[in-house]
Amino acid sequence: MKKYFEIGKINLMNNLAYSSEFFLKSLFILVILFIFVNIWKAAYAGKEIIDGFTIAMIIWYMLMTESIVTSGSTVIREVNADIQSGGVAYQLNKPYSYIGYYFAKSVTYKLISLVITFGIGAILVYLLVGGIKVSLLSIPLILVSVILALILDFFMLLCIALVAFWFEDTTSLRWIYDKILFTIGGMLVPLEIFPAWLEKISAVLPFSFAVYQPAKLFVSFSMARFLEVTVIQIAYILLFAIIATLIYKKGIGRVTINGG
Amino acid sequence: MENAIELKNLVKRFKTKQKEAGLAGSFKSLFKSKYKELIAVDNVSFNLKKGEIVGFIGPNGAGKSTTIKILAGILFPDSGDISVLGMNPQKDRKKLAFKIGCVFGQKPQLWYHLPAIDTFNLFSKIYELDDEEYKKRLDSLVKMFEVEEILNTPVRKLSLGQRMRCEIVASMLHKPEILFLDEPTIGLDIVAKQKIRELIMDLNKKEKVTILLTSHDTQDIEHLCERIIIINHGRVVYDGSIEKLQKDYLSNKIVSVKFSSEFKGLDMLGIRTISSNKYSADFEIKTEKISIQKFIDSLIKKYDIIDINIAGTPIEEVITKIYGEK
Repeated sequence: MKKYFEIGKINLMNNLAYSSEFFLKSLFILVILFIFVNIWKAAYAGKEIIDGFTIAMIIWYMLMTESIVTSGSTVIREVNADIQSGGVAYQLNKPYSYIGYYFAKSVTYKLISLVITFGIGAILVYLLVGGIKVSLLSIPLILVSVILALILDFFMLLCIALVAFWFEDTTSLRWIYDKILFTIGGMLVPLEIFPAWLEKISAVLPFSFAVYQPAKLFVSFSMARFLEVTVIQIAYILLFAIIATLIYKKGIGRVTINGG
Repeated sequence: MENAIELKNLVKRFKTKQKEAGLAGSFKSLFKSKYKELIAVDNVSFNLKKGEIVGFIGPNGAGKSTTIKILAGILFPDSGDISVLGMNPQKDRKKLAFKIGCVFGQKPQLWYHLPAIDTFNLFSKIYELDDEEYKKRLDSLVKMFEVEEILNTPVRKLSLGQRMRCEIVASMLHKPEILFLDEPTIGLDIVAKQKIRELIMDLNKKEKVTILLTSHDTQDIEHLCERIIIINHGRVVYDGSIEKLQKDYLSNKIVSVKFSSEFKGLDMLGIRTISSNKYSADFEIKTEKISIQKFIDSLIKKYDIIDINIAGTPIEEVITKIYGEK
């Protein structure tokens, strides 16, 4: 276990060598948030509540979903690069698991990136629409839900990334996956805004458990809902971890290494 | 002596996608993929004794790197029996990883934006080294490879030679029993090459580590290895000592002569004039057809000689000749 912790640590150090990238990404979020605050203000003209959300709730909701989705993961890019450059040779001659290596790298990176983005965004959101009520007790539970969301996102991405063993480049699949998170994952708007049938479908799909569910818990927490979400998140994580392992086992035998 | 590596009838095939030239070809390949099968390693067998240092050479695409990667458990073979330190590299990849080290000259393993010491510390955790022992080990390797000064410099700022020294240190931290060096001197200048060679030699002598080395620089091989394995088109074409290679393939000698009288040519069986001008000439003597003595005797009878120099064919030429064989 300790070695994976160390891998996460060194990955952070490596990324902090270029810390400006972290902050630039976060600053970009500010622009997006500013635009959406204005759009929502127009939509809310005269109304207090839309589909159970006040304007403050919806903006805080968006800050959370944006922070989760843009926390990004380099796993797709890195597995692609591993396969294309042959760097995979160095991953496979070390006494650790390939999946564990990327898990450690991705999840620590995403968590730090999320904290920074959320922190910077929170200042702007607070200034523009004020605060919302979040009970102190629910904060650690929300954090658990967010971390599980990041882990779920990682394993879904990993399944895509490992397809690179066959196709070498999976960035187009990633593009599709991102758009799914934007829409039925709930990044752009909460699922409640959708027509009822689409809301129902989206709410059970794994994508919403990586984005919508934890963000919803953040703006309107309930214990019953937290427990339900957590159980389903864990179930989906296990499912995608198993799928990823199977893809890996099947793919590793066919690894070819470019460039001699 | 015990064998560190036993390899029998190794075969590895690759399928590569083919595309016809041009845009039309690109569209065609969208719908129908054509594959070409390539045999990268074709029935390769060899053993390595513990503590041996063996040069593994061949032209580009001959199957060297593929073989090494199969031995390290990175690639899966199509068939063949492989035993590395008594283990099957594909089944026991992680277990074997503790006992082998790899350096791929063309691919860095050090974290690019961080100083080498950070990678070393990470590896000490990955290889589950005892803190105390790791410190001692690092200390001795750092001294041996003379990298104290550059330990805290980000890797991207190091020269290629410095980087390569750090790469080897990283691969040696866990005291591997076998070290695979895939083109460790690639791109280095003569001085840096010489340094790396000395260090590799030292490692082999002091730590008794078995080394399988690939290189396109025949000087690396000549300096370091007593035994070489030559692979071409996926097959082993030579496995033996460098001396024997020279004897087998080098029955030819190069004789350079300076004359005080004008040289007007020499026509004898087994002699080829490589180059000549008025007062000097280079000959290639096929010693199985004519002895050096006979050649010189007849030369002296015809011409006055100032100076004469006899040399073997350089090993490089032998290898070029072998590479050229089908």
